[in-house]
Amino acid sequence: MQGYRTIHLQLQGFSDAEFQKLDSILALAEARMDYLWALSNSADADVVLVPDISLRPEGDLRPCIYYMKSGENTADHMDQGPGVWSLIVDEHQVPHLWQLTKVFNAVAESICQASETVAVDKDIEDAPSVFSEISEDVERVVEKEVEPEKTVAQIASSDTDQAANNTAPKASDPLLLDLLQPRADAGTDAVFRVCFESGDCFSADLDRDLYFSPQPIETMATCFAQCSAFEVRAVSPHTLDIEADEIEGGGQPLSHLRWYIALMSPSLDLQDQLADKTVKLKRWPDLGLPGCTPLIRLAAFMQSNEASVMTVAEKTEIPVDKVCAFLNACAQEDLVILGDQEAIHEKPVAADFKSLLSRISDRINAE
Amino acid sequence: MTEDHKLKFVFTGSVGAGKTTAIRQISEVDPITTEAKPSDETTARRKKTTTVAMDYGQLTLDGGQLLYLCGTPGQRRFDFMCEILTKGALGLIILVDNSHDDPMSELDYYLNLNAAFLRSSAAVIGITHYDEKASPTVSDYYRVLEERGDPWPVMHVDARKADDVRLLLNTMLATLEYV
Repeated sequence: MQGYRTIHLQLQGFSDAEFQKLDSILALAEARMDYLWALSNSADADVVLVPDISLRPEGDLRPCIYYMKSGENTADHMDQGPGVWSLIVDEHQVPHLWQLTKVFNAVAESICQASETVAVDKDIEDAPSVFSEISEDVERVVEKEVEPEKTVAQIASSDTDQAANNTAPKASDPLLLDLLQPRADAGTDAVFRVCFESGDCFSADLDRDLYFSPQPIETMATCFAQCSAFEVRAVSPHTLDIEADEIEGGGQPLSHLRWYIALMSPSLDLQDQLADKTVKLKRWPDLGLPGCTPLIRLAAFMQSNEASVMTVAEKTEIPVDKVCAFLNACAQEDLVILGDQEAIHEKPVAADFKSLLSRISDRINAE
Repeated sequence: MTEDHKLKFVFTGSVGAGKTTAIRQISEVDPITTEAKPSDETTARRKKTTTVAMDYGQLTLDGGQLLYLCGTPGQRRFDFMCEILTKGALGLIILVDNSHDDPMSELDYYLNLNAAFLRSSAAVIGITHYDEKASPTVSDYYRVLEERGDPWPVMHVDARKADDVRLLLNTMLATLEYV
């Protein structure tokens, strides 16, 4: 990666575990960054990151990033002065990837402009913060072709000490999925419409956590599976309300849409990521979600057993790519537990009872 | 053939949860229902008629064996029917009306009512009327189950849709085989 400037980031006021956590997040966000970032303990680092603005070293004139808890009044953070950026984190001190990317890119840009020593050689395809640029005009967002080696994961464990071991990886997050994540500061950009080249479209309201679609989302399966290019259009809440009145069933939970997109999105890279790991579900997913019917057996097996992806596929007779897609969707809901050792609990089911269940299944599912 | 040897799934839940409707969606014969005008005002406000003894639908398996689909009455004064109907059943489908004033308590109630049966069998929980009221969410129900230590699957369904009723039954079969 010659030509990249590496921005060194010093962490102050963080534990070793938090250091490791942020290191992992930065590694995973690397594909989205305009510059390389490296963590450092040196006071000579380019930027300092602190968990609270009050911990900024006195007299330190370096650019400073500080954590701001989700839900805090942003107005209280407006006048921190030049060279200071806030980064919204959740209750686990985990920043949203989209926001981290935005802030870190802005900080890096300001450093490089100031120093005039940048040699950027990256072929950047703009994936802008569409919300800051959205207007009544159509903004075209081109979906990047998914590259299997670039992965995005989110450390979701509530036990920070085990965060590094319990990471539930997901396949490459499509930009679309990132667009639909809840955001505390979306403001007027919380309501928008997504339109595919095929003509399919849906509207989303992040504040109400709802999506609106005149047709079942399964009709957009191809768009999601192929990571089709889409446009994001501004919609006023008033317009959306009028349109929603004409949609049978009204708005549906955005979590259902996020689930389905994750289920349909390419996820074969997960197989490599999980090659030496076992997977288990914390609990059943909501099998009433779209696309779940063929996956019932998979959910039942994974809820009771800890096994590798290959073992799961073998025992349930479901193809590996479907297993990975299901894992990808479950990871979005934070339902996946990773482990190192298989623990298969074959329920002792008599052969004739198994045969009976099969006959019942045949009858129930007969047309 | 004694009652114990009949193949059956039992649908239970409160008044208006969708038990009769669900059975009607997949029974190969018109279900036999035993309905009357509700005796209590609360039920009368929700429905014009309610099941007083049980609903009775069926499916014929390959080989001629019958699979019965039984629905318990929703009114509390008929709760004694649950023990009778679940005797020898393959599994229990609990339908919870999400538009009820306190659906979590309803779930608690039916799990407690059928606790003895569920010690040796399985349940699947279907949340109905989810389109009318999406709260509590399925995640909220799972929190309740976790507190109780119950491993049953929960999903939102529409009892008016045959596919959703099949989803419940297919999940029941998977639970019986794997869990």
